[in-house]
Amino acid sequence: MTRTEAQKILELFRPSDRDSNDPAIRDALELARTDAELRTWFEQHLRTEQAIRDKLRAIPVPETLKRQLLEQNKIVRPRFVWGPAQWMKLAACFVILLGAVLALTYYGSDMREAHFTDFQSRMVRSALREYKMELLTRDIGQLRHWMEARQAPADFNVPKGLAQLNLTGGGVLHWRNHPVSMACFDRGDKQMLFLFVMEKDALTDPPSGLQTEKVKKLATVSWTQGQNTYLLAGPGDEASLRKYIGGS
Amino acid sequence: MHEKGELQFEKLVEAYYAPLFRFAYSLTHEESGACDLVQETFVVWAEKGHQLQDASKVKTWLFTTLHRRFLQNKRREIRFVHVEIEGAESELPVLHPESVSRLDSHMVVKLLSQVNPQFQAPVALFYLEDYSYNEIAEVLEVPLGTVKSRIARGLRELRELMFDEAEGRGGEARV
Repeated sequence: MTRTEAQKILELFRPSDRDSNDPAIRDALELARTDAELRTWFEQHLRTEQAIRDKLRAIPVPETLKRQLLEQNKIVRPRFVWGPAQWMKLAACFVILLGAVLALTYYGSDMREAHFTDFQSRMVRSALREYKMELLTRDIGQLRHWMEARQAPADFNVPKGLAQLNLTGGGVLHWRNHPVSMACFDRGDKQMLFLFVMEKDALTDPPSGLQTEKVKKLATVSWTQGQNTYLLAGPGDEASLRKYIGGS
Repeated sequence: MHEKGELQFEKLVEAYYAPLFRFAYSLTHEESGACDLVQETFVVWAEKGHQLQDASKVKTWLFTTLHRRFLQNKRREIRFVHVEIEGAESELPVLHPESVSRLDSHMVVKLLSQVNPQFQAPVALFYLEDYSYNEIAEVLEVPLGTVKSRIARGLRELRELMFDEAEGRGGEARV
């Protein structure tokens, strides 16, 4: 084994390694013991590796995370043994819930107003984290037909600037029980633009004019046209996003 | 029985929430996304954990689940990442431990985020957990040979980035 070969093997060696019974690692370690130059390199290499390991293991963990996890478990029950008492409680809860639903039906739903900013935030989060294209197609007609079959807005206008990009596909999301059409456009630089469309009546405060805003990591442009409210989201700044809203 | 289950859940959270968070953070590079991933992992545990027969596999199960969730969330980007690039191996620059010590943890994670995405998870597990290569392969659900290759290439990329950062060339374009 040459010094270079040994060095290559030892680059992946960790002192705690449970793989070190590998004959090649044993030979490389033996060479490092007898070869002064290799030994010097190896000792420094181990110190550097330990420094990197220490840095990564020192990533601070948010203090609130543990509490959130434990509270979350109180909401998501893994298993439960149902006895008569539990059934009685469930029946009582059902009656209370039914009463609440009836009361809300009669007295309106103002308690939880459907603000545009909530919609905007939820859609951006979807684009960033839960994004899922249910239909892959370049044909906008096919996408509209597919959305219509799912009771989602299908008669939306695609602004001219956006229509010049390649459609990749889309999906249907739901926000407070209202279907939201999502069309995804390939910007051409391995980045995606997302057009979300929902009936404007689902919102208490749909945007009246053209609004641009940075939400989390995405730029957004939103507007209302006809019966629909539109939200375009994508990476970059708001100005670069606006250029895709060139007429409809 | 229920209280026993809750106690076990608390023990599990106590034992693994921090290492899971660090792994998640090394993948997402931002705190809120990492917290979400850990929470989603424990939600899956609450729903499906009882199906796990071998108690010794709990930790691997949690790490695997977290990694799966991460990949699901990143599906959009994976659409564009298909090819494992075989590049020419360059001479590894000498990186001094003192240079690393001058960097803070967030900077190391930031540099890790610039490593080829396919190499980030294996490298994170290599450093964060003393997992063997076999265990890393199990967590990431890829063959052992692939794991070794990705770790080797990932470590090389990370050290080069750290070297550049230490030399004050961190902002320069890399070829």
